[in-house]
Amino acid sequence: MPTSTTVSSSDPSAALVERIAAEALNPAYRDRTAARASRGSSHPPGGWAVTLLTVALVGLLVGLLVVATRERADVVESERSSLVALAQDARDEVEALQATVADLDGQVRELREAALGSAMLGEGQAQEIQRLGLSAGVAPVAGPGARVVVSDGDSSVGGGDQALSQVLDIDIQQVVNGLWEAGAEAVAVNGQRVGSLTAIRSVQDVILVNYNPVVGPYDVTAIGDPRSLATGFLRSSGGEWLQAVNLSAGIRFSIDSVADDLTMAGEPAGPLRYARPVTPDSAEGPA
Amino acid sequence: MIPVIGLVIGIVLGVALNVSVPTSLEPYLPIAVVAALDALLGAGRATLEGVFDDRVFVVSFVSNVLLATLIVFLGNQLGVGAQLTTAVIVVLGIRIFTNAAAMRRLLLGA
Repeated sequence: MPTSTTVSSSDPSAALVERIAAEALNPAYRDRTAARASRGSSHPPGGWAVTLLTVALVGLLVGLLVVATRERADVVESERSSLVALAQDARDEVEALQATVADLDGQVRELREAALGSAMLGEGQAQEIQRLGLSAGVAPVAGPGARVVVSDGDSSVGGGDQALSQVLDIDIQQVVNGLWEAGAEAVAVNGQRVGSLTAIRSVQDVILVNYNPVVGPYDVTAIGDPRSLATGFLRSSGGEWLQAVNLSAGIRFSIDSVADDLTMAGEPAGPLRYARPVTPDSAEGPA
Repeated sequence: MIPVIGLVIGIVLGVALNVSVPTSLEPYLPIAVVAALDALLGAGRATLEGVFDDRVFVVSFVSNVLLATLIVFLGNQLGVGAQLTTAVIVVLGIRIFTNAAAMRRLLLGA
């Protein structure tokens, strides 16, 4: 027989649960049975049809809910897959556009070289453009130098915190600045050339160089004197920074001299819309 | 036995009819089903205890479903629909579990 629990708990929430459980069976069932017994009619009334109808109604509700839930799941699934397809399409489009950009950049360079090669410009001007292109990071370059590889550390070193042992944008910035400091003439991060308008920054957990995402291990290459670049970097602020984050956060890094030619693509600078050249006439800076 | 057949017929009808529930009623269907299951398990336990009464069953079914739906509707109007739904589900869940446990004891003696 069902237990009539009289465990009067002092805990109000436990008492509430006990009261709900104690009245789980509608008390009216027993009341009416007791009333029938007192009237002497021990036989429960018929009414099977009503009972059957009600039970069938319960089943009907269950069936409807099952169908409705399944349909909704289908709708959610189809919406999700269409969103995935949209994202995939957009990504493909971005890739196609990036390919177009690279293609057009190549055409621009070819056309410019063809124009420079013609007799329109003097030899001196062509060399000047070449020199400026190297300095600005617009032209592809090759030469010996150094390679600094930075990668995420073990989470066990940085106090077990995975986020702490991740390479941040400031780490890459310090490395690039340290390489400039050590005399680098051209720098690239994972093949992304650091030009005059390059930004190195984080968006959420992803580091962007030239607005292109780069992932670790971060391969920072620099062209410069192969005899002094690596050692110079180690003594620079960038080298000190790397040793500090290696100790505190477990960031791993390696520095190597590269005697062979490192090649770097040019990073075409965007059009300058506000900056204009200072001619001797207008150069009237503050005295 | 007959109630079980009725339940199966109802489920088959509900699935086979493939009636799409109106969107406005959709939020209340789950809570109505849980309330209906509570009434059903109560009736099952009453049958095993020999105190079943069809009138009590029908009244408890109708009132359970209407009350649960009404509470959730009211909660939705007041902006506490999710909390009230949880409250109703907790209460009905305890009752369903208690009744199922009682039926298990009566049927299996354990």
